[in-house]
Amino acid sequence: MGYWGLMSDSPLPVLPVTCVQSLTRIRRKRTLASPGQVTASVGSYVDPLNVVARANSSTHLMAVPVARYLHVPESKLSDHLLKKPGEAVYSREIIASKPELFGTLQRIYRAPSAGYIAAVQGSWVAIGLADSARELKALYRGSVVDVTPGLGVTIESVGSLAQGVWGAGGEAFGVLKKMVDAPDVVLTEDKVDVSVHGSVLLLGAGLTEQALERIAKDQAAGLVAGSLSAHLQARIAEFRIPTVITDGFGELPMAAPVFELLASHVGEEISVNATMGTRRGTDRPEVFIPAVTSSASAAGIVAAPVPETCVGATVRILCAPHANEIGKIEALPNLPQNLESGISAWGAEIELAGGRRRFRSWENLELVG
Amino acid sequence: MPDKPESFLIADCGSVNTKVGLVDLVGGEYRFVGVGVTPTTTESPNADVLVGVRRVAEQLQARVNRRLLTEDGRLITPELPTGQGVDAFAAATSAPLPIRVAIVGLSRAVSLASATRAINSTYATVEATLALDETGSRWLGATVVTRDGEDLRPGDGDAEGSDQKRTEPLADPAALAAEKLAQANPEVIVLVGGIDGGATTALYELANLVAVISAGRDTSARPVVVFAGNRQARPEIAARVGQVAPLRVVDNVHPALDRENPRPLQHELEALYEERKIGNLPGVKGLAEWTQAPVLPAARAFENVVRFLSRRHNLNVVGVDIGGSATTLVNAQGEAFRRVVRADLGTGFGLESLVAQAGVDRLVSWLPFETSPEEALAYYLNHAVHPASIPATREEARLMQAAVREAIALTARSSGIEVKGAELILLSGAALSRNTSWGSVALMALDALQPQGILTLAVDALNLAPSFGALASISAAAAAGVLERDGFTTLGTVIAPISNNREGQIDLRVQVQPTGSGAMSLEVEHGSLEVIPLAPGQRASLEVETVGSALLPSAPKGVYKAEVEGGTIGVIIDARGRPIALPSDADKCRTKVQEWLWDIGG
Repeated sequence: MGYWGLMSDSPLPVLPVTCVQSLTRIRRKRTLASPGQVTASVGSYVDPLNVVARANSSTHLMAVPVARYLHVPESKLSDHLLKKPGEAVYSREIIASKPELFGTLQRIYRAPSAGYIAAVQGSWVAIGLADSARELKALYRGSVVDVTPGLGVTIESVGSLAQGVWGAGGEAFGVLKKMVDAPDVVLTEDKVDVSVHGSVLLLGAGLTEQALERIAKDQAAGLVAGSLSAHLQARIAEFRIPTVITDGFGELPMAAPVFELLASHVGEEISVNATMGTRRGTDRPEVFIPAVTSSASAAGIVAAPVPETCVGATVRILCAPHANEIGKIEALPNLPQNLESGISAWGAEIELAGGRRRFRSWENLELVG
Repeated sequence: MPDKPESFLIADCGSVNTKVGLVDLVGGEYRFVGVGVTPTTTESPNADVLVGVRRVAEQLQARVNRRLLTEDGRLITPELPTGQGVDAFAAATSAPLPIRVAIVGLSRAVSLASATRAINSTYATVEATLALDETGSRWLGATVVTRDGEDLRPGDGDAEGSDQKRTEPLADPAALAAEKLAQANPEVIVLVGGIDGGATTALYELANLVAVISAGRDTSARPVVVFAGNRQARPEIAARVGQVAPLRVVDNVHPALDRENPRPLQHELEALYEERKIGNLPGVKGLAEWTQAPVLPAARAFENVVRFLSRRHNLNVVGVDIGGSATTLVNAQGEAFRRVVRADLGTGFGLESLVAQAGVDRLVSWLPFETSPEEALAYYLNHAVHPASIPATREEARLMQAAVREAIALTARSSGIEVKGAELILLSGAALSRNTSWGSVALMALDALQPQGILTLAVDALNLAPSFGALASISAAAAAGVLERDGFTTLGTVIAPISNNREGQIDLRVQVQPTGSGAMSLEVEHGSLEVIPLAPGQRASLEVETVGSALLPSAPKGVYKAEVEGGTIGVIIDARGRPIALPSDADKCRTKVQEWLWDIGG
């Protein structure tokens, strides 16, 4: 069967694209998980840590059977509540009480954390706990070019962009610190010290588990690595360190163009967007270094064009052999080829470093640009 | 659409790839004409599923030399006298994310179990469960008492006597379960419990919990609550929940102690999936403009195919459709059918969850070569981030085949569907249709489903089965015609005895007499896997004699005779016993797996 198959006059396939741009103009939507108030306006200039929107409700909701705790029927709960829905509560504040033993004792319930009374129903009280997730930060330095009322903003920014293949741990912003000298080096614990605190760390072919533990202890702001050992995936989530992986799992070096791009920005501020949906989502995990440039010179910088599949296009090989190597499309065979796996597939001849030429199926290629 | 449409464009927009096929009347019969595939376009910068469908239609245009789209990308319909365009379009999809569901109910073993079975019939994942019988039942146990504003310490005494157990609220199982439920932030809460006419008090308490969690969210972010419990509680549930959250009421999922009724809840969840997920899929509105029929969930479209073939041939049919994000298993016999969708098991985005559930060691045990669990895990995680990629090396192909085995096996185990009575097994999905060899495909199915008796194995080589199911919604005749002629490729006839014989002892004596050629006889030892070549379309007389303790379920003891048809493999005799046991020693296990692959031509 002609999977992704092409006749000579068929359009070439549209391959996925990974953006690696030294200077480009981007637009990013920043949207609340649930509705709220947008605090930024069109035309305003925002810094990464500026709050651009605030959700009405907390993402961390706690439901407590307060009537049961007070030993009162649900119909009497309102008589004993000291707070009404919508009212703020501070941590350990008494929110319900009932006299006992002729008033000599009080049976009480204290708020487990700061927040607000979200709702009361029957014997239950929902407490929306104060959490930073209610606040949406800009993350990108730039101008607000659009506002979606109640939900968020679109920010336009100029700078360097590198997209990843996997991310976890949320978002971060900090100064980029290079931890290894080459993209194929694995970071070890002995290279980590307290200076990583608050920084976004540039790694090569991943890191050891001990190095990760030390980084978590010293509270680095985030990580950008070419790869990550598969067994460390869960630990990244456990430590909640925003982490963007640019090439994949295993012990893969970071692609040279990406490492060189990032290494040229060491000491500069970098935004790490490591959020990823259950599937790829509409936005890839990425890192972005806002350009330090005057508004006049920035005006001439345009968004990088979306690369197209054609002879000469730069591509990355997605799986073995030669996984993650970058090369150029050299030729477009007009017949499918048999892969080593035995599967017959359509694809392209790729020229890799050193003049090596290999056939790769379209499914196993992505454009880089 | 004309009254009697004759040409059709059919599409299946999966979570990873979009497949589009062309069906037309050829010589008075509905035939499959061509197919194309491209990655599904639900990602930036083309977050529009119609973009992918158009791309494949453009491929097809070039391939079959027939214009299907206008210059501005609209479908030419109905078909023009010049032969351009098609009369109708039908589509199925599994591209949206599954619905995130929480189940709240009285009993884990009764009402929650029934609700889980209903939820597993569509694209839904269970994010949280709360069973009252696991939370201390009476929701009591936490008391904090104070005197003059100071908390009492244990032993200080309290309002109800010094022997009362003091528990911090956060350690209360009820509060913990409620917090987990709130944190799951489900899109749908299924509230179940109580037999019809039974007690209601505890159910009302659960309804209060569901209501307070819903009310705590922003109005636009509140979950839909589906009540499928005690019918008598409906008015009170409506009063407690209906005012704060969208409430839908369906028949009790467990109306009596000895009766389960999952179908109404299944229908409601599928309706929610269509409404909230397919309805909000980027570009689906444009796609819907191409067709008068609704865009079907792919699982239901696949079910249509399995049920049609079961009715048409009066067979017990089991169908498996393994996709990038979900695995569907359907069993149909006559009018009876059952469907299970595991929206957390797939060979693309679903790999991470699959590996977590199957265990990487189990997956590695299906490999004929040595590799470390770490390397295998890295392969699976990398494939999950590039789900459209295909195995380029032999090793990658085997790794993917191991994943397919476990996805199907896990789905079958959780389904309650009896595979051993199947007379026809249909295999669908890119990981099966696009593989290294048909022998590998057959072996994956045998290892994963472990059927027993005599049955036919067929594969959806075009990987279009859900599309054919969608086609049935606009033209039953076209769907039936194309399914009969082009829909499936027969791999062969499987003979799988169950036996207590020892390895090396004879299980079966088999004679195959192909029409027009000489007979082939062989004795099949227990533990072995044998293949007798019999070409597609070639018929043969089959005689099978069971030996010792071996028997073929649903076949009479002694000599069994039947007429069988060949396939791309032929007659497969799987005498490995049931359940198939993998050697515990890693070296022996690899050797055994390799032997089986050689035996079947994998």
